[in-house]
Amino acid sequence: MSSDNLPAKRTGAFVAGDRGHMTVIDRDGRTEARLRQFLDRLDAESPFYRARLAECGTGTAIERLGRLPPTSRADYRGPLAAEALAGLGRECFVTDRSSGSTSRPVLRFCRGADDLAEQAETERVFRRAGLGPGDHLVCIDVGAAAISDFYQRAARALGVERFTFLHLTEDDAPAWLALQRLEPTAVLAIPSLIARGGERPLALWPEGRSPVRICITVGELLLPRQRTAIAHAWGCRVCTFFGTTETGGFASECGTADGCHFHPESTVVGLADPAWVDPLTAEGELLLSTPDIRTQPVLNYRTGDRVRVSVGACTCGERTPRLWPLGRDTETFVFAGEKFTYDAFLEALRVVAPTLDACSILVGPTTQRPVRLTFHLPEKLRRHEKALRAALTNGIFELDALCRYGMVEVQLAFRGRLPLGNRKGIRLARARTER
Amino acid sequence: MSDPPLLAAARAACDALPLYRALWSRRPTVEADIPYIGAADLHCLDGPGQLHVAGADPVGAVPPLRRGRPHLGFTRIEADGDWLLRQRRLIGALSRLGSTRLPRRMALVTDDATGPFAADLVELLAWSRVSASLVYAEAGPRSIDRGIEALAPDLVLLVAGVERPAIDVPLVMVVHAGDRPAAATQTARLLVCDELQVLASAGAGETTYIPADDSVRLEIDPRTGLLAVTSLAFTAAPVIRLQVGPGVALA
Repeated sequence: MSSDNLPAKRTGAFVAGDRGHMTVIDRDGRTEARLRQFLDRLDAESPFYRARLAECGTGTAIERLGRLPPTSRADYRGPLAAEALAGLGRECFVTDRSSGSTSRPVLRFCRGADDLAEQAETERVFRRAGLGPGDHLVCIDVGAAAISDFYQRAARALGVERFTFLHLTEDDAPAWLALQRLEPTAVLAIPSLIARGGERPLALWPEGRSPVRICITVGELLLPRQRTAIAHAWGCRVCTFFGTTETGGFASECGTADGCHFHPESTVVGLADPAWVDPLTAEGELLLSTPDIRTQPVLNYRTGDRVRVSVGACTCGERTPRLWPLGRDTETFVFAGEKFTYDAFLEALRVVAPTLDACSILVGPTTQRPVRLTFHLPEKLRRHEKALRAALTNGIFELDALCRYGMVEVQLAFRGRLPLGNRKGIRLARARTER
Repeated sequence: MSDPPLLAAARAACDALPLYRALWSRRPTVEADIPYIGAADLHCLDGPGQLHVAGADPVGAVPPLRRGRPHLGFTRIEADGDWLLRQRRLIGALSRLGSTRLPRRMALVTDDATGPFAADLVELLAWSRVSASLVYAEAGPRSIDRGIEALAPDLVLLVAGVERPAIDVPLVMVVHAGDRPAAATQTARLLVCDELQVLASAGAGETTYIPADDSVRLEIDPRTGLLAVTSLAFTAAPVIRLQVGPGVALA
């Protein structure tokens, strides 16, 4: 479908590509124009994408994008990281490191132009959330202070007056008390970190006395019941800010809290294996292309996130498409603000035990500090205990960090028969949680 | 007999990086062969790749004290081993200032320019289970005081060059090696440089700096009187007799 003459109720359109995935375009042809410039730049600057684009033939930029194979995390870690590193030159840059929910981390390099592009997007999100002069924004996290410093710059650009980064540790009671005394008007946090505090963060102020107007959640899915609990306890609006390490944040909720708005000319959104929900809405694995990123850009990058995307108009009046995060393609669980996939644990353990086909993980009880993660493994691996423990923490750096921070304790338990149940073909049992 | 640490580090750097082979023209055999170098001597580098040992997995950039203004003109990247040494130096220096006891809760006073550096310190401190929050100075002295009061820290680290907070709490200030040495000695200090971060510390009232640990060598270049640093242990990013600023009194 072309974006020309779209009905007013539409904010954009889906364009089907030759490889079966779909790309979202805006109403005004800006997506095509930005994408065309972007492909020209990659053709000139990236040997990796030059080779791929050469096989895509001619046509519009959207058509060529539709013929491109997805970019994998392995591509990002390997040739694309090498290209980025080689191209840094004497320009200043920052890095962002993430496991990408696997046992092999990805490193993202960002030069000043990337940082500013991401800041522009973040300012748009903060403005949509209602941040502005007179606000005191408090960011809460267990370790990632650098991203909070970035949020500080975006908030400052909107006239936000005060900014504080509040560091949460294994003993989180003093931090919640500090939050009460800081009297923020806005809070930015990872949902599971608020959940980890139990009732404490929700009981900081008597009903109707909370200074918080806005709570922005990042990094994870916000469960409906948690949204309701925060909104009720703090008497504030709760909105989700969605993005990935590799592409930055790019979508956020408006006041209607019905999907995250995004600008398809800044971050080009695609869907792999799409399925129609209705004529204006589809679901699939999120693919991202990043015309605004100069140092480590991607085309059709497979995020592993399952999303719903709609080009139907939102009642708020903003004429941009919306996205709803639905979860990960691979099974994950969230712990202390970090996402872990079961496969990541298995991959890490297989460094020591290549024939390992299953293990089970017991989480909790969470009333204890640190919270224990118990890995049940076959008895025959007992002699490799030290190496297996090292493989887990060396292979999954976020797990290592949480152990260091005193939030998690890893325990290995060996037994003749694993508690996997009777399912056939299972590779790794679901984590049983005592939360 | 093994080489003295400085000579061993220089030889290892020479073997690992063409940069040093080109700068020195030959592999040093005695310490006197190792010249002191300044940022200008590295002007020909195209970027951080030439200061990075091949095969060492990069884990991230080392933020300079002031955002976008690294001493060498470009950002350096490091490997896991270099990160761990930076962490050890920070904890070692803070422990010494606190009479071997590490504070449990800290507040770092920072600003827009020093924010990435301060944020990096938070992550290093978290590794040793120190809770370190950031208070930004842009909203003014009253706001800094309110922030510190709310956080109730055991120690305040002044990363940004701001006036002493009015709150009565133990203070340590960050001093950049490239700046004029701090005249006031009534506040404890951490001496840092953009390449290796924490180098040394001096307690309140002390006139000399004590190196954070044995992973760095601090020297005064006898020719210029400038402070020069060497990473005696490194994984990816060796720095050998690099001049980083005016000379300071060393213990």
